Amino acid sequence: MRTELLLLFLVVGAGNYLMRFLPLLWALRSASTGEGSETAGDRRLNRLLPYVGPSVVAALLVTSILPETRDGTELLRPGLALLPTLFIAVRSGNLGLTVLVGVLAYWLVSLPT
Amino acid sequence: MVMAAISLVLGVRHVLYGPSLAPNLRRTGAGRVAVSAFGLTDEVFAVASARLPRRSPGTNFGRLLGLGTGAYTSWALGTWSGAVAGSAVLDALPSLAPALSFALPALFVALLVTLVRSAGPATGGARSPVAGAILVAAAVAATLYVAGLESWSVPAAGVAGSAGGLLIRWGRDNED
Repeated sequence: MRTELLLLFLVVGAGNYLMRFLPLLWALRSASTGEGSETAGDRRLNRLLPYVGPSVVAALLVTSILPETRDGTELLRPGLALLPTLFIAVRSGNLGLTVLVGVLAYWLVSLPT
Repeated sequence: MVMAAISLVLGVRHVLYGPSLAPNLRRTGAGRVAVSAFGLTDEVFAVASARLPRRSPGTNFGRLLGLGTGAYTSWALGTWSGAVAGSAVLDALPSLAPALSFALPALFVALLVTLVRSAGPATGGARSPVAGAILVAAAVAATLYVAGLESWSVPAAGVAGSAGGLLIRWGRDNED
């Protein structure tokens, strides 16, 4: 049982690491060798990549809010807390301040009334 | 083996992170790539994709390594202080616990605003394709998540949102 568990950790750890490492290595290598000789497929991929960041962060935002609403009742609190958070994010552009205001806002709206 | 497969599927989204950051990085030794890949978590990727495009590619590898090291260190320190101090703070202020979990969504909101603002020449200089990508990604992520396909929601939204952004850009380019 113990060796089985260790093997599981090893397989999952190695797999998870390689999923981060190999695509990064591949992308860096093909970017530096492919200048002038890039295929149409490479060009399409390169035009797609700038949108991956915003798309993934949007998905992370959605999936980081939804777990609390699993029972389908509580969308109100995170929804209310998002408003001042978004306001400060747009006004200040400061990551730390936005996180602080977000936590404070969520704390205020979830105080028992 | 089923457990291993489930855990690996949970990590599929990480496949997108390296190629997405690569245009902002210069080619470097495999050793440094290996170390920075180790630190490429959701949070590190989110901050890096908002910050790196505004800096010079020559020094960005150092920034990525610093981000990964900083995140890993604060994670370890946070775990350690939590283990040592126990629940002292939360016992005093129990209402704080759910509020702290809102730190992550708040960080992602701040990063999204930065990403829309910094829509640079790579996306045609316009904000609407980026905003469109965000809306498509959010809708796809929410739908899959509610349907019970949590581990696929982020990678699928990453691909669908990017495709949406590119389509909007093509639409705009063809109007002119």
